[in-house]
Amino acid sequence: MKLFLSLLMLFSLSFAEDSTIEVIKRVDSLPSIAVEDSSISYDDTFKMRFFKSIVADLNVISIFNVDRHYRETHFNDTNVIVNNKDMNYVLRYKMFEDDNGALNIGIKLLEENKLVLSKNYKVGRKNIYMFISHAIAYDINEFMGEASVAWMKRKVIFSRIIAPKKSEIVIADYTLTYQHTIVKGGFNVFPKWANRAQKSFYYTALDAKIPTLKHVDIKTAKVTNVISSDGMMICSDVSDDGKTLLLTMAKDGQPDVYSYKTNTKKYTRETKYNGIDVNAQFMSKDKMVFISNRLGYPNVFAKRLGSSEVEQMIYYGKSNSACSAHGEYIVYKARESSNAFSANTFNLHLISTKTDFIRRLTATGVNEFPRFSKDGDAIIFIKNYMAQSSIGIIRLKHNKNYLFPLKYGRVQSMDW
Amino acid sequence: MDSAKTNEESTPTSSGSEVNEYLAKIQALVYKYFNVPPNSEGYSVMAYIELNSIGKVMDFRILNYSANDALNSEVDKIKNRLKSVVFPINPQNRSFNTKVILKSKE
Amino acid sequence: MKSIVLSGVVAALLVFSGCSSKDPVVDAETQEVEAPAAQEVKAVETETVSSESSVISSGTDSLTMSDIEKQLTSVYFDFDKFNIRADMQEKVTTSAAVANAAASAYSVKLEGNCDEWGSDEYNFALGLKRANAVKKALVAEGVDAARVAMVSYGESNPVCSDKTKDCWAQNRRVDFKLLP
Repeated sequence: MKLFLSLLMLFSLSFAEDSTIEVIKRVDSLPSIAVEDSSISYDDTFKMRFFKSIVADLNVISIFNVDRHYRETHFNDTNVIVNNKDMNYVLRYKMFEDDNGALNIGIKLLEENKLVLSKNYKVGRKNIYMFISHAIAYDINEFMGEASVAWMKRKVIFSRIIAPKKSEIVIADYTLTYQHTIVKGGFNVFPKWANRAQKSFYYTALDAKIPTLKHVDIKTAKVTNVISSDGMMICSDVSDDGKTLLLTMAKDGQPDVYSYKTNTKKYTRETKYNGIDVNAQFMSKDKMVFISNRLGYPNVFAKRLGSSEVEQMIYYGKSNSACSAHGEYIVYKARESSNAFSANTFNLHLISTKTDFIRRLTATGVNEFPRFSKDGDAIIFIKNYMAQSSIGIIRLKHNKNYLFPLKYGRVQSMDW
Repeated sequence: MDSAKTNEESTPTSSGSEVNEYLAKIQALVYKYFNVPPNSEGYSVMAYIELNSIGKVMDFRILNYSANDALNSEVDKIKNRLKSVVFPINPQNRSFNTKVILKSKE
Repeated sequence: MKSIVLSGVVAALLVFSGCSSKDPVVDAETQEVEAPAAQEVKAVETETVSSESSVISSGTDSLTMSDIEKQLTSVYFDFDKFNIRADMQEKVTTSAAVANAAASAYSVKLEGNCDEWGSDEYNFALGLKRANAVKKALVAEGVDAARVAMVSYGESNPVCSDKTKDCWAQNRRVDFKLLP
């Protein structure tokens, strides 16, 4: 009787003008995806390496529950493998080596056995296979209509300390799977991309007679001296159009922020305080955030280029010694202990300059050198914990952190 | 529909179950294409969907957004996903519309 | 179906030798070249001026630059601080005297260092402020400021790496180096 009545009610409700269906769903139910390998070239080791790379990339885009089982099939099979029949999506790819030795990869994205996306990729040498993996994950992410992960396709440049006063500069993909040492020998720090296209970069040479900022064109390997300064010489940030640099220089032992125009080669002193002013980062075309100890301890401040007014940005903590900005958000490094006698913890915090939003992004270890990606979707940082140095990536919208450890050496600084 | 079912149409119970099934299928399809974002627990959005008799989505729009940005961005994307989805054929062979509450479970 | 050629992305990555006053080795081909163990260029080291038997014209004992350098001992600092402690004052005075006498033919390079396990610019600046504090003290004792250069290495130049307070204290320092 009850059942009949409720069905009746449903019936009458359903065709009333103000009927309502309720769809209630839990947060952690992401659509599932499985990956099928249909490669016809290459040995098992390489095939497994590529498979692991694409599974990791699909995981990082954070919109799927990724199945990690390795399965093989034929590229043109109309159905997905029987084990994958309940998956929402299947990514099937085929790697083959053509007559020129180039690596070709064709992909098919199947949704409930229906083809919804197909694409082809090619690279001249297979040792940069991971860039195809990143491009595939990027394209699938775009296809799904999600927020851009353009940063996945970009190269990271970092300096690695290998012994006291010895370092090398390395160009890598975001997972550090591909690494290419581009400057070997000497003591070179603070590498910085010179343009959006990542065709050249700056770095500081510390064992020149005085600290010198150098510029390297990647294609020609030409190195030019840009500017030198006694004490300190760092390129902290580069404007979007590449024409303005924010430098830290310390003429007469006085560290200050300077803006530098690459076409006129002229610099302007931006900070006048007698103490420490460093680590300037563009917030917008003509505004910057920087670190200063003008209150007696390092903290984050902001100012317009060319004007003298300085505004305090963070009102928490006793030692905020590194920062990066994107739009209305600032990420900064806060020291959470003050012990001269034991290890200290540094964690990254995110605040909005427009609301009172604040969020702690990391929990343990020494987390530093935060940098926003150009699209603001992610933050890259350095983590040193238990003698392991890693590069970390935080996906802000998805509240997820990923760590990519270094096999040797310690990351000193990086850019992407 | 076959003749047996036609006879039963006059009985509320069996029509009720067809309609019930029709609604349940709509609910299941929207559920499938709803990817609830993290940190949106407890928030909900009111949407409106209109289907024609053969199951094509004629209209999908948001009537009331929530106070949660992540949930709001997500429901804006649902429209695109549903564009190519084939909903069930209407048991009464007519177009149908309904409000849909999209809620992130607490 | 779209084809994407990615070879252009990393095609021109080249390896060349690190900084020094020499021109780096440049490989001008546009293809990526895995350089055969890219040459390591040694940083400019402080050189010994001459063998121990030669006499330096200033009339002091025949000491090499590195011998004199040893007389300039490191100055140590407190956690997070860059002021010269009372117990370090004497070291600075002694170093000033050496700089003005036995080392008067050379330039002095002050290297500032930190203990924190952090490599941000702020830490480099802290190291520099330490070097600057020593420079100011040397100048106050009569050393010509133009002879004194400074650099900061942050925490990239530790003398020890144990996680003990003794080691950290040893790393918070300014070192003296002589340059010809």
